Order: sequence, then structure tokens, then C-alpha cells
Amino acid sequence: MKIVKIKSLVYKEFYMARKPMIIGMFNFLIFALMGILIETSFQSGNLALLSDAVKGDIKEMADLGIVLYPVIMVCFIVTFIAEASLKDEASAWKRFCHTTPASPVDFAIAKYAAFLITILAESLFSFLYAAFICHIIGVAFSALYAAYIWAMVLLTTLMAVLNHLGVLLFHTKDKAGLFMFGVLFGMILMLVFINMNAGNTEFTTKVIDNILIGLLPWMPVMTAMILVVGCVLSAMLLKRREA
Amino acid sequence: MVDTMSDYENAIEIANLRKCYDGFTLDDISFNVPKGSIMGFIGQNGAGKSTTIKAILNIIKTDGGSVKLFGMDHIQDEVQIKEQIAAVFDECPFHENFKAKQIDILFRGLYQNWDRNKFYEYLDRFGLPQKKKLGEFSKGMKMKMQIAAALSHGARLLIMDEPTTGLDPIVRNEILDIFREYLCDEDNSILLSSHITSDLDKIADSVTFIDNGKILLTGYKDDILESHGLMKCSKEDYQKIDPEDIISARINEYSVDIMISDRDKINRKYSGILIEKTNLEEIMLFYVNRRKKEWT
Repeated sequence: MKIVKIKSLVYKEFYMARKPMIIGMFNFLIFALMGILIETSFQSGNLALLSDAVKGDIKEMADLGIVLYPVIMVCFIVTFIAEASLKDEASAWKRFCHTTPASPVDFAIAKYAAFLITILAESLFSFLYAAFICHIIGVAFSALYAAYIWAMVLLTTLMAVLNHLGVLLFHTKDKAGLFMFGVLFGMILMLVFINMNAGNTEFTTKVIDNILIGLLPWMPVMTAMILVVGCVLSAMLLKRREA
Repeated sequence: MVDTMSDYENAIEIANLRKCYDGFTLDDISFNVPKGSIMGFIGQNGAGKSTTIKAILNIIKTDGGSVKLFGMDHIQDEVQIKEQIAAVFDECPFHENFKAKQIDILFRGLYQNWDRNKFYEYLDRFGLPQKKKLGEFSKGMKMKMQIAAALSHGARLLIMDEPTTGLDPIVRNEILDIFREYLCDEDNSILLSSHITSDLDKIADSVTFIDNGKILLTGYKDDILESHGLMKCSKEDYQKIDPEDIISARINEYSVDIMISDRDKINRKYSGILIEKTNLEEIMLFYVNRRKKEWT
């Protein structure tokens, strides 16, 4: 019976987020199309007229963009599940939750199951898309691309979880957003500080690329940990009764 | 100790319930809702009706007292109890994008005894469109949708917090008819909070009156209406009335209306004074002004 409860609640999460998800996929198509147009321009358009030296540098950056920008659009889809929590706050849904046989833990599990399903789907899609596009444009699907994709998945998962926790804590979109960005920037500043303390004072793209490649095996684990911690914290917050 | 969910006398038992906020206290609330009856829970805005209902449903933490539903503790046996109750609030808790199908799928997962056919039968009966989003429904339609969902999972207790507020008299009457039908099953009970006393005059078996966080009256509606009365006298005669016999008095230009709580006693004590029957609205009005004693 518990599984049935959670399934119906997961259905509710996806039903609430379906329109933003469709818009997210539409954004992906736009960026994918732009990538195709840029690649076409490099092959036989205006960009083909550039000198080899200039073209080489621009092509490298453009290839990264063609692969990653559509992926970014897909990775953001998980944040729409968190946005649905705002609708919960607006519609007295939370009060209704306390009147049903489903426990706060059930509601938390359902939300994070929806997150997990979305993350798995968008990761798979992103990797398949990236591998396909790399093949089309004649670029090797390297560990760097994989690291960037996982970094996006990790970052957007963290954003989604922080946004959801922010809504549970502060009940409004503005405060939840401030909470999310505050925590994110705090973490970035902490990472910069740790790196500088370790003697790394340069933050070139090369340095960042090396850090990401080094972290690549750990990123799925980190993503899973964020989901688990988020689920536990959500259950605790949902269990709170009005004081 | 109650072994089964059918072996209980009162659907709701509240004893010495207490909840403190800044500036307001729900103080020593005690009343019972007998099985098979409908209790009207009346009070003016801010009296504590919604707070009491939230305490019953374990939406808020309480500072003391006990709440039992179907003879079971409302916290320890929460999941088992909530399979058997349905709560209806003045505000629709379902999302604006939901249609009937989404509510069906959601409730099918949440409640073991969800009856899909019954739900769609209620929708047909209430004339609710199945393909329209809730955001396009009127307030009355949203309330009917809530009630249709509440009645379709075998709930034996309906807890309703101001369900008829803001609805026109025709829709209110329709909803009251639905409640009467629901109570044809003697195992079913309703706690209906409202400040629209005319609805409770029509349908309630018993009444509990709350004011400023305290229970002022609780009992069978007919007994309350029978024992209370509105005494009408001149201002001169009013001076002869013992203040202990008065709930409060409404001073008019040439006469005084006095609410009394024991008609037989007043009839024996004061002869020649007219005592009229009263209704819940007037009882509420006079009790609310009891501290002032005299008001206009």
C-alpha cells in the first residue's frame, strides 16, 4: 500500500511539472538547432571563411557550446519539480497532506523519487545526445565532456534540492531563491578559499577542467548523497507541525 | 481499550484540549461528537473553531489535553484513523491544473477504500465537468469536488471547516442535502464548523459554541433551543431582573431583549414576562456580548 501511495504522489509531482518540462525540452531543441546552424556555418557558411588560426580557437569553444548548451537546458528540468512545491504552498496542499493516511515521510520520498527519476532520465538523455552530437561534428566524446555534463547534473540537483528545502523553510519563492543562491555562492566561495589555501591561485579554464575530470568518478555519488540528505531533511521539515 | 473501529460511542472525543498562541488561547476545550450525528461547531470569526479542527487533525501541536477519534488516540493511531476520515476546508487544496482524473488517480493511491465509480457518480450528480481544470471551477463547484472526493473513500467521519462560507443559498442547500444523505448510515458522523448558524439550525443534531477559545455551550441543539429563550420586557421591568439570570441584554429604544438560559426557571421566577423562542444566531449574538452584559 505504501508503494501505491508513493506512486500516486510521484504522479502528482510529474503532473504538476509537466508544462515546464515540455518548455525545458523545447529550449533544448532551440539550442540544439542553434548548434546545428553554427556547425553548418563552420562547414559551409560565413564561419568557414575565417582563417585556420582563428577558426581553430573559435571552433574549440563552439564545439563545447554545441555539445553543452542544449545539455544545460535538459539538466535544468529537475529544478521544475522543486518549483512545484511553491504551488503546494499556494494551494493549501500542505494542510490537506496532514489529513490523509500518507505520512510526511511518504511525501518526501515521493518528491525525491521524482527528482531521482528526472535526474536519471536527463543524465541518460544528455550523455546520449552529447555522444551523438560529438560524432556528428567529428569531435571525440572525451572525459572532459562527461565531467561537464555530470557537473551540470550535480549543480542542478543541488539547486533543486536547495530550492525545495527553501520553500519548506520559508514558504515563499523569493526567500527560497535567496536561500538557494546564498548556499550555492557560499559553497563556491568556500571551494575557492580551500583551493587558494592549497596554493592554487590561478583559476584558468585548464585548472577547472582538471578539477572536474578529477572529480568525475565522485559526481554520481555526490548527486546521490545530495538526494538522500535532501530527502531526510524534507521529511523532517514536513513532519513539523505548526508550533 | 477499543479493539475494533466499530466499537465506539463517540466519533470524536476531546478532553481538556489546550493550545496557546500569542494573544489567544484555546482553553480547556472538551466536547464529544456522538456516532451517527452531526455536530455544529459555531463561533464568530477568530473564536477558535479552525484551531480546534487543526488540533483534531494533528495539523498543529497542542499544549495539553487529549483527542480521540473512533475511540483511538489521534496521534498514535493516526494512519488508521485517517483512512476513515475526510476533511473539507473552505479553501480547495487541489491544484488549479488538476482535473477529475488527477484527483481520482491521487486518491486511489492514498486511500485503500477509494471507490472510483462512486466518485464519478458524485461528479455526475453534482453536475461537475470531468474534463475541466479546477482553476476554471466556481467556488461552489470546487467545494462540491472536495465533497465528492471526501465521500468516495468510505470515510466514517467528515470534518468540515466552514464548507458553506461564500456559497449562495442554493448551493448551500444542495450541500446540506448531501450531508443528510451521508448520515443515513448510522456509522457516519459529521463535525461541521460554521458561523452561518442558519445552516446548523437546519441540519445539526448537536451544537458546540466556542467563543474566544472557550466552550460556552455544548449539547443537543433541540435541548439548547428549548432551554434558552429571549425575554422581552420594558426598561422598567428590566431593572427588576436579577443579573444572575441574564446572559446579556440588548437595550432597544423602548424595550429590552434578554437572553436567558433556563426558561422554566425564569417562567417560575418572573410572571407576566414574554419569553420567545430563539435560534442559534441569537444565542451566539447574546453569548458573545455576555461580558458587556448590556449592549445595543
